[in-house]
Amino acid sequence: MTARASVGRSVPRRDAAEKATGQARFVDDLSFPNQLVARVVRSQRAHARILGLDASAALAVPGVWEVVTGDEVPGPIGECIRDHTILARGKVRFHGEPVAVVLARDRLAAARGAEAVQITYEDLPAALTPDEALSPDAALIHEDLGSYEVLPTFHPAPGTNVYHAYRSSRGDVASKMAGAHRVIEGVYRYPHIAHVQLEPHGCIAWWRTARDLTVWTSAQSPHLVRKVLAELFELPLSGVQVIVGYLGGGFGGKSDTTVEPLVAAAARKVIGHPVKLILTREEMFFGSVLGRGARVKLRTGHAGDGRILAAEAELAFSAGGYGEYGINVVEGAGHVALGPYRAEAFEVASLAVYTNTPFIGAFRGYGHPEAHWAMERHLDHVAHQMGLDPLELRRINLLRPGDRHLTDQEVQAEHGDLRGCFEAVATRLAEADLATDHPDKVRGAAVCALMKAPIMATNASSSARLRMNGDGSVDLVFSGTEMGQGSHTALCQIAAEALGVPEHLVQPQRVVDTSTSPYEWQTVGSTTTWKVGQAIRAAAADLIAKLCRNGALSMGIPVEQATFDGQYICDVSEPERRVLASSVALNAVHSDGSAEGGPAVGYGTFTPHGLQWADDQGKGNLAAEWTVGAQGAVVEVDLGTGEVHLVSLITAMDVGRVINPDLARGQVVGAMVQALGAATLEEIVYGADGRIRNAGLTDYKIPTPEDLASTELDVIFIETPFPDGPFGARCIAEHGTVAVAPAVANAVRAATGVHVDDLPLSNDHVLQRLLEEGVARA
Amino acid sequence: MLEPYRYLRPTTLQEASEMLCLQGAMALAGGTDLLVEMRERKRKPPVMVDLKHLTGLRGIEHNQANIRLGALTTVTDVLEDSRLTARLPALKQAAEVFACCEIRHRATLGGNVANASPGAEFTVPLVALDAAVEIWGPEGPRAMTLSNFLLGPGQTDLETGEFVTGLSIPLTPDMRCAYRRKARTRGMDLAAVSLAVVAHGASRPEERRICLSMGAVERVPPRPSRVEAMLSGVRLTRELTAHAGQALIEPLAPRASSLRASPTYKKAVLPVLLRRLLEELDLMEA
Repeated sequence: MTARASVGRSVPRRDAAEKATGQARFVDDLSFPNQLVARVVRSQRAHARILGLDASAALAVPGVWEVVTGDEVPGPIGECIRDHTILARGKVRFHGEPVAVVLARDRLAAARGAEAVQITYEDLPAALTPDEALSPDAALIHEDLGSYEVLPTFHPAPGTNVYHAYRSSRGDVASKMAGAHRVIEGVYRYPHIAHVQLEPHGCIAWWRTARDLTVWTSAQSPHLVRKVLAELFELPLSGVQVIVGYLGGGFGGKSDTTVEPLVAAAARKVIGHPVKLILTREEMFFGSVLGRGARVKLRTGHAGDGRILAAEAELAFSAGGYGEYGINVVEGAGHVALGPYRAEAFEVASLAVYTNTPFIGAFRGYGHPEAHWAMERHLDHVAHQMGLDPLELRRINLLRPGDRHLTDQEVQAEHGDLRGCFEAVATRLAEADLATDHPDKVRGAAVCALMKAPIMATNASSSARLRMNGDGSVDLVFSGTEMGQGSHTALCQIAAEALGVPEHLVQPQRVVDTSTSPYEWQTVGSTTTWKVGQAIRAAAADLIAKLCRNGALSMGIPVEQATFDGQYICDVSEPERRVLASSVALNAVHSDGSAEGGPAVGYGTFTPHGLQWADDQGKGNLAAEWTVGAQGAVVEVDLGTGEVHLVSLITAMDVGRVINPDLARGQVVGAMVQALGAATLEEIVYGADGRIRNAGLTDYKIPTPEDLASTELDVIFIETPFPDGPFGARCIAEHGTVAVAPAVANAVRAATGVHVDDLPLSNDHVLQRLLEEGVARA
Repeated sequence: MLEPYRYLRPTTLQEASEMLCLQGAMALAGGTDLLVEMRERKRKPPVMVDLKHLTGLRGIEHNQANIRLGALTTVTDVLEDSRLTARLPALKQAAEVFACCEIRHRATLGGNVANASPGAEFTVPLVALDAAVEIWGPEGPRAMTLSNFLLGPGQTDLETGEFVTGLSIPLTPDMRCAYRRKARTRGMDLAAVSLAVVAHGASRPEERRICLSMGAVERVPPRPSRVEAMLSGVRLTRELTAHAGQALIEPLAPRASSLRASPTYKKAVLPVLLRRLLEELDLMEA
């Protein structure tokens, strides 16, 4: 019997029944004897010296056990730049920064205790935007920037608020600009936005002894959490056990570490007591990481036909009070600062700027939506000002095989069919109905192109184990986390396909435990199906080899003669001779009962090929995978109210090989909808005091079913196999976010003639722009 | 995290009034505002008087001259009363955009008006409909117009020990009404700005009386009497309506700090809503 192909089928999600019936367990579902509850006391100032902290009233609250302050915890932490004090020491750098942790027997006592902690401050000048922080007279947010440990590929500028700058250039920009037919400039802004995961960040930390820490957490990257905690507390990695079950959404906002160092540091004061912290919905906005927050200046010089002769880009990120979590976002944005377009000469700088705001970190898209927002919006201005067709302008400038990325990597055909994706969306939009049924409403359409690569460590390895049990079922173990993206299901399909067994026989381990689960760098960058998938293929080959060994021993034939057909180990020289693989999964057992061989367990690893650190020119083999695509929008704008209704949103993406059609489409649609929020609704609003005014879902709005009830969401997959991906598959999870915002804004321009260069395109913002341009209807 | 409180459950109006006289007591109906504020530790009432078991306060009464809405009538109750929604479509339109399904099951009309939010979904059409508020207190029952009852954000004419028992809407011949709001999303959101239009004697322009109210523009939903006069007793042309739209917004100075919409937005949208609602109610000359 040969198993039906697993890859390419829409098998049901492995976690569907558990989650639909409420049986899936998340961190807040766990509790332990002697557990204490933590509550974080947070800064009420954006930038200030701490003059005093008085915890005596808090300690007098019945039920409060301890109050932990910055002087009592180790640190700072940071893998790329060691700048993050997990509890404020001496000064606070943003409103909401943790200053103390109250440990209490229950949540009420913890809340009362937190309210009773008295902190006195001396205010310092605050900078909330990158331009404020870049001004020569801006107060320094990190006075000691020059003394921080930093990896050699990052470039802090001590004495300023710039903690990293990615720079890359090619050719003679000045002379190309001078020879250009037109030079066009623009400034584009992407505000801070929030991930709004369904499950709040949460963690339980339990010190069994002073050198033995166990942590249950909602984290994307258990092995990284383990590494950070081990370094922080000077423990061997084996002394820290990190356990992660399902995550109720991550979107990058649970990558790196979030609350784990804080909770573990506080819990060390109460050894023997597990300490639990679950952030409130409101705290999630300032107590974890934010996303985006970019100001982009673009200047391009064009030939008469629109070709880009030269381009200058300066991206400045309001990266927040600490730099560790955003540093690679800024780097990644720099790599793709001109989107999927070619320029004969360019100068690119992407600046990571400390600001007195909560810090940014990974957020689905990782620098790419920011860069594409600016570049695609800019090209729309270029088309408008030069009187060119926006589609033709893009066609003439799209990257093609043989071109070089800003990082100097060569564009190769195997990276995907960018032009094919673009034309697929353009064709679909050409058929769009642009008529409306109301005189105040107008429609327009636009297409944008996209590309994205994962930003990762050069040694970002994956590993996996496959074990066949005595009944033929297969256990699959790896440390990629399931946060809703469906990777557990896709990886079972890959395992089944690689083994040739039916998919239902493969069972993934639900819980990652760093003390037993194979190593995984991080679950980030849309890379799990790709990287873990490749490790699983290697593990499958290893398992098959061991099954063949046992089968050969059992049949008394040379191992070279044994093959696995998905059910039996067969003798290639004599097809009638075979044994059930399950019968030799534990051992080859001979007729006299004697056994040998041992249980068959396959182990496989994968390390992306040939990744390098950036050289001092910002160049090198910096990306191991590219995914390309295009996105289009048809919008209807109400000229009386500024409402932008999405008639349709379409994505074409070259995904290499679709592993599971329903899941793949779900990923892309989910990304499109999330990006639609950023395009039309979402923005963190700061008061003059640096406090987030809309921390919570009352005033931070995300798209809901009502907003999408009459929106057509369409996905087209193109499959140019990726030679280094499992069965040809490449990364897809974030890419659907990358060009939605500019597609929407450019469609609004097509409909109304009005450019909107700052996100979001809220009703209010759009109407104000329509009023400014005299297009609004009274 | 809620602070502990004393929970009281009166079964008679008299008992409720006495309990509400206790130090720091707060009335609880649907709880969709109060419990949120308690969870956020903005309110820590020592005594909660749960009115939900005053069963006589829930229900919709259709009379010849008026409609009475009990204070505990839920938003869902409004949506499910087809006679009410046919007679007063403005209330249906308010109910349909009110929060979400779960909250509509819970939230009450009495709570909506007693909470006195400047953009509350029901107060705007109810003010335009000349609704009266019925109150019970230590001195027994009393009634007053909703316009006079609302004093400011979170402020009403209720004295200690008093609570809302119902709302009464006078019916007139040939009445039409509509309510429209704009919010940031089509899903669950608070009104960024809203407008209610009521026409009495709608089909005869010369005798027609137009009543208006707006949400989220002033401390309470106002009745713009000058604009009502401009639009009443005359044939409504596009020019006149545009003129009235400008007059409507001319005195308004919405607070600039709103997260839901800027003053510019509110003032730009209200004339559009006015025109569209007058068109929708078929009150405009062809």
